[in-house]
Amino acid sequence: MRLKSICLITFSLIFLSSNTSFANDPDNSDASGSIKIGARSVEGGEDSAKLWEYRDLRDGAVGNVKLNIDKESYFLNMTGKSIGLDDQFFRVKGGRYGHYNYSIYYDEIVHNLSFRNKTFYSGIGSGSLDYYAANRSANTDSSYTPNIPTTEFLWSKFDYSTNRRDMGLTFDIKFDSPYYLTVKASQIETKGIKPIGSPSGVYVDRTGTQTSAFGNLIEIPAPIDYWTKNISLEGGYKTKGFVGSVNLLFSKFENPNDFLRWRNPYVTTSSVYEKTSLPPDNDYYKLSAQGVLKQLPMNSSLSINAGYSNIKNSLSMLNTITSSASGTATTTPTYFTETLGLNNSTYTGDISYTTASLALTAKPRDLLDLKLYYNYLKKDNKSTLIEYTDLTTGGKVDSELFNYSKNNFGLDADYKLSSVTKAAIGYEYLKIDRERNDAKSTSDNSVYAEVKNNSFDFLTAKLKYQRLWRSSDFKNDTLGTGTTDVNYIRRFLRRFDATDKTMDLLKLGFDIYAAEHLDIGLEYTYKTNDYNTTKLGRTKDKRDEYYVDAVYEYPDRLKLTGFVDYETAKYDSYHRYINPTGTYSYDPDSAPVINSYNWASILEDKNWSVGAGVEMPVRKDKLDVAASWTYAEADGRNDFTSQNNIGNPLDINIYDDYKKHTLNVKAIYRFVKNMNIIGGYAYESMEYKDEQYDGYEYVMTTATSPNSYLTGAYKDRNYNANIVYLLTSYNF
Amino acid sequence: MKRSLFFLLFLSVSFLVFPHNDAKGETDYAGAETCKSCHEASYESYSKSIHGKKVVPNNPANDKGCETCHGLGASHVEKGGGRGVGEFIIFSKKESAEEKSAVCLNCHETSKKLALWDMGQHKKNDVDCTSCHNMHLGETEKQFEICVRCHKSTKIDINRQSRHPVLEGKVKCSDCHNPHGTLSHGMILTDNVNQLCYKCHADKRGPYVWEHPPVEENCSICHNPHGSKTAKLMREKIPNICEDCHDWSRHPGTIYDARTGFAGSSPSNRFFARSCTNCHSDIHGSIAPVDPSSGYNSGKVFVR
Repeated sequence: MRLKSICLITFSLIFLSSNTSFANDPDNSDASGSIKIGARSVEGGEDSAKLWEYRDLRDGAVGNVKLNIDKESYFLNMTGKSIGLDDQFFRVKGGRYGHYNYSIYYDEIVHNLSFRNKTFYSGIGSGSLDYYAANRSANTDSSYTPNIPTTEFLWSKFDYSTNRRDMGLTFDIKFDSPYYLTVKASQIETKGIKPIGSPSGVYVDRTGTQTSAFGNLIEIPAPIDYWTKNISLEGGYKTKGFVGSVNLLFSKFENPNDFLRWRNPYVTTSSVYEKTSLPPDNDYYKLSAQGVLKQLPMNSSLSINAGYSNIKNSLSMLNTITSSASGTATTTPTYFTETLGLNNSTYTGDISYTTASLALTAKPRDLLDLKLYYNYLKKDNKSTLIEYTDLTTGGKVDSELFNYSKNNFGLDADYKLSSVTKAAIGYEYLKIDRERNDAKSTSDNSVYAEVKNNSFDFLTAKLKYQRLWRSSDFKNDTLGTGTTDVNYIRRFLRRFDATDKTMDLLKLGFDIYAAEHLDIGLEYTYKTNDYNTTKLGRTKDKRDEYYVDAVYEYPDRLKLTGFVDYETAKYDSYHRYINPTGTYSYDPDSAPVINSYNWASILEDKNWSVGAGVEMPVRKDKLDVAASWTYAEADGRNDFTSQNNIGNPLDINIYDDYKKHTLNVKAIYRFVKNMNIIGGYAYESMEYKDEQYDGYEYVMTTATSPNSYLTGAYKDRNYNANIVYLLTSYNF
Repeated sequence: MKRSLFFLLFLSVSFLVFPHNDAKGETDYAGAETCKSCHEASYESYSKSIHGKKVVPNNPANDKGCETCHGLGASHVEKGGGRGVGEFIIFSKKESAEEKSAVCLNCHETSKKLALWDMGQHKKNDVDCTSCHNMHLGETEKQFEICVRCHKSTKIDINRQSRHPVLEGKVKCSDCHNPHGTLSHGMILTDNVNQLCYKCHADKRGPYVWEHPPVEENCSICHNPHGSKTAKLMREKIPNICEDCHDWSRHPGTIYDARTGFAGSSPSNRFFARSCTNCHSDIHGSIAPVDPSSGYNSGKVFVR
């Protein structure tokens, strides 16, 4: 019997028995709730996963229920939403006031990525993909065509979609003392299919020679079959002067598919299977303790938190790869250890995090608030170091265990300059030390100043400015033996998250109480990052956002809302193209030639959002109506320039451009005391354009490289849909 | 003279022996029924709320009713009522956030949810309990609708084309943040961003043989969890975000311009469709060492 049906039946039984219990003893019970049942029809948008992204919009019945029962000192709340659909939700909450409470829930989350995708593989949704095709000694046609069924309409159809079932319970006990205990358990099951892709590694060309391939692509459906099981215990002690707790969490993640095994279509002389790795199983636990001391001198509070967590797994390296070098699967231990130079047949993953935090708040003077804080985090990677021989270069490659630590402290001071003006200043320091061969460490120093004023009864104004300086310790200055050595470029390349920069942030806001029932809000945000030592990589980014909203609310009469938002974002970056043949150099200061030159990119996004809404009773206690409309528009572009205009780069004018409309209209009519009729209409549309998807082809053929094979992932983002629903609601 | 001195002494002793009534006497309270006579709608909503249930221990219903939170009502009644008359707390803009929150903390201070209230950004920014909680009407809005009243930029982000299912009610702000205060930046529920994301995305925990350092350090280097115009909640489009850190011979140093789309004159599978992640699918980490046929096709570069 399906889990969904079991939950539905269980919920119904609890619901009915609760009502029966109430009916049997109505004088000592107090019950209220509602039942909503109706129907919905959706026209349009069936082909678009974007419309259905997080919803089950099937035509047919829809229903929600709610029940609240109080009986003496006991209570019970039950909620059921979208019953019977793929996005249904159930929850039972109950307990005894002041003694204990519990909550049990079941929640389904659907995530539709794209519909009607297609592939020539069979075994979709499993960990092994195959197809039938006879081997041949060589490609006989002029294009680099693998031996697969090339007629797309013969391919199998499927959806990229996941369904997540999250169920759990919480039990809270308040003892007749300051002590408490909380137990939580949950299970998350996620099943579905997601798109991944791999290069083939090899292909067999027209002469029958197997060649290392660097240019072809197979997009393939990978299975999702994840289980996450969690259990946590928290015991604590709480009084007005002290709150302390200890928390223990265990979590287990399981995925029966360590790999996706797929037949390589580019090897035509025999059936060769590749492997692409999927998320591995892991066990996680965390132990943490927290204590808060309150009511200290000078109105102070002191809080200390410490934690230790660990993630572990164990994998056999001998199962991790199949070899397509000789066209046959080779998984013998001697091949891995002698040919590949693999140093360990088993990988043991072992990562731990140690954290500690301390914060002290105080009010030494009536008008002065202070906060001092310190945070520490250390990641220790004690996993097995894996080493193998790179068959292309003959050199050794190892897995570079990544460790880092963070030390962060700061001070905030808030001072009331007057009864209408409050000022705040702060300083923060963050140092990150990394075991990484480029960005060894970064240090951030950040200051901010903020002022808030409400001199006028109708206006509150806020202004904040923050400045951050980041310095980094890059260790790449001596890499590369010369300007034709590929490692030489690393002297100039900076990762934007770990390089020197200055950041400026400005925020300005006004809250205007324009009239008795009218509030207006205005907000402006400006943020810029200047990566001032970066030669290659992101050099600058900037964001501006303007926001205005208004709310007019006359209680029980009318509510009007509206907003407008405009945002621009810009990313500047500088790069170098090198084709290591003929004359070329990895030095960005060298003269540009056809095989090596610098180029610049400016990525710019503009976003508009507008919305309005109205809620009003048309006839008091009889008919209410509500309507809302939102429009969002995004416009992106990417402009390029190159030295001496080599390559004559062509700007991208359509880059994640979309227009999204949402209109909702609803009417609630109370035709008798406890019963309502709810009717509603929604119009939703999305028009999406992007040069990465426009003109989509499942088989991309070019004369100079092997075909690429795609499945249609994410190509169906446009929709135009009308949704109508009619519900009856019984309230008691 | 002696009589006068004795009388003064008697008065002084009386004053010392019989206590001053600085404490609130019963006559300073008007009583909930008196409040109801003028404020019937507010009384009804209070009596239906959890504060109005006598079965809940230490509730206002078992104490002074309306006046438990609003303060002494007798003088308000004696003076004939009216807005601003008497020593009332009416939870308006005229009262400070600290004053308003102090009323609630009087009873709720020992709640474990409020243990870190003093440390949080909301207290620092003068957000009080009534900014989010409506004691009389209870939950009349969805949670995110309350949060975005102040967090306007987030309101725009959660409606972008790539987002978490906040609008559908499947993810709530409180699934990631504790509005009552934490020790973490952004008032997130865990010590750092990654531990928070792993709560729902345990498949990203690894441990992986091959790690991608910015992934291990902070998911929000690449992703905006509130929403983005770019797929997969990416802060910047792929390949642009990848090229911001990576440059090498040939790709990724190649310009992927308008010619390289499906409809362009020189389509490139490094640009069209999912761009870099067409091949580098295991971008969060890989457990595969190498494809022996080609040293470039290895877990180290996340293509296996």
